[in-house]
Amino acid sequence: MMDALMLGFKDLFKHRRLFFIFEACLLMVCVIIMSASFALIWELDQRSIDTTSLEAYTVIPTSNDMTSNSQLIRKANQLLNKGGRSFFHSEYLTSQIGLTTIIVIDSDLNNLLYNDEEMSQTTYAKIFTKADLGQTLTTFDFPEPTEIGSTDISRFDDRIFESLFEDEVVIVLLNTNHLDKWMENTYGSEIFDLVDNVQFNALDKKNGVVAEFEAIFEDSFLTLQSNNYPNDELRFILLYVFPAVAFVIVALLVALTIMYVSLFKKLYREYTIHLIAGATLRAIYVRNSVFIITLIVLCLFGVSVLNGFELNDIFGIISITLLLIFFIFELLLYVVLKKRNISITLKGED
Amino acid sequence: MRLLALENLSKVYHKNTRSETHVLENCSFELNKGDILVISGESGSGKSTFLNITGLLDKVYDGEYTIRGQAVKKLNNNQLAILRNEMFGIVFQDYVLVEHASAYENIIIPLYYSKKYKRKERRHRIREIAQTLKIEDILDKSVSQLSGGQRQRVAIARALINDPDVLLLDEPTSALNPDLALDILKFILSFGQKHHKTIVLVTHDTQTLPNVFNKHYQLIQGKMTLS
Repeated sequence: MMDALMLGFKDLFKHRRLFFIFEACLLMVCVIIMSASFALIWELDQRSIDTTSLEAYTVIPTSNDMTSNSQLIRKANQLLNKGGRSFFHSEYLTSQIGLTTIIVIDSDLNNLLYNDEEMSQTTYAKIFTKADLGQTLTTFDFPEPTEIGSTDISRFDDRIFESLFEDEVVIVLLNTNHLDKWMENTYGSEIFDLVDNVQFNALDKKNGVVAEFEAIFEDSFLTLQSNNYPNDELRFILLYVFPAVAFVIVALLVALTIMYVSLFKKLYREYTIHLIAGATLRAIYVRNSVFIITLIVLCLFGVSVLNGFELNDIFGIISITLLLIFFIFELLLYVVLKKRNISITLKGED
Repeated sequence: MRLLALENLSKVYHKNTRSETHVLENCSFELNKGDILVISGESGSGKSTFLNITGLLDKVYDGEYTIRGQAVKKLNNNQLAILRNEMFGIVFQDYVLVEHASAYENIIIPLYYSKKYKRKERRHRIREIAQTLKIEDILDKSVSQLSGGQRQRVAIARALINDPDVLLLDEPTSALNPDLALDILKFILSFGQKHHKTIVLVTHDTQTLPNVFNKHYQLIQGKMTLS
């Protein structure tokens, strides 16, 4: 067995150029599968948090009269306590704290704080930073009772962070009816921001919150334009990305098989000579498997590096794919070795 | 002591098809330890097929083949591989060497699967055989760089390396010039006699054979006759 392994590694070294081409092709297959899987998993995750029927708006100012600003904010605030969620950049708090401050309003803040203690439905606020989640940042004069603590960020929060460049940001999760107090002496940008970032789900729509929200802005200085576009990402991935990925994978696997057969042909005469000299099929099998196993192990290592050594779904998918490739090659070898006839003349086979 | 026996051996290629060919028909013979046997015949008379069956390279045939009283057909692939390794050393007409490997790497092949020689004894054993065949200085050379005579000696060294009981020689000198061919044949036969080896020599040319064999069979159209 030791000799078979040693001969396998000798073959590998002898055909190292082919080995590296093999490895590159296999890694390419894995990277393509990783990217496609990531896109699909992310999209499915998005769906699972019920973003399929989001109501999104573009705000169009239609008047210079902003006298109804605070009234609008108060109404929007009341409504967002009934359903939906949004966030905006608070000029007032930014100037107070000295750091970019984002205010998140959600009818059910527990959605955002799924790893934290339940929040009361009364006036409430919570503060944390992007950089120092879970650490006390600062206390300041807050118009409402405050609590400083930690939380996990949900996908909704991700969306907030994506829109910011700063590392240190104060996020205020708010469940209050007095938002208008926070927006005193500010211009229309905050209400623009609030409306631009608003999200409703199917339940909100069913409960009439969406219609109520739109009604607030009738006859105001802002006109809402609904961007209720269907979420076509999954359809696109399944209809276009996956067939393209499948095509590339099949092409690469065919290339790999051709290379493997050419390598096998090179070694075939040598294997036959070994069989004549007393090698068992098992010894030849072990010898040949060294090439494939090394290839797979190195590829798996490469994938792990790219995947940050995380044992997640993507790693599982890649592992299963590599295992399948391994079995296909081993089966191919088994069939060829089992069928071979060592009594044929070897003349001219070189 | 009877080493191996073949009884009513027949071999048909492409059985039950249009191109069905009867290569061997009811051939029988037996071989004792130390025998030197020559099988001669024209091209296509079935000499190589006969050698393939004898050397356990072909197991599809009709008839009985026993080695030391054991029926070959009852042996599994692993047992056949062990027998091939321990009992037979085969020299082919076209040498059958691994071209990109060195002479040393070719000669060592049977030792990888041998139970007769331990790993640490391999190098010494190869030196010993190489010395006998006068090829010590070409051991590290690639086979592709060797002359016909040197390649033949490497093939013989590989056949002898595991100290087999039976040497099967399939037209071993057909690719060499007559003088060199005779030298090599003389060497093999004297080596066989000295070490009490059983030798089966298959050839189409019996004119140049040294007269040291015990039996001479002729294969004519698949039928074996003692001459």
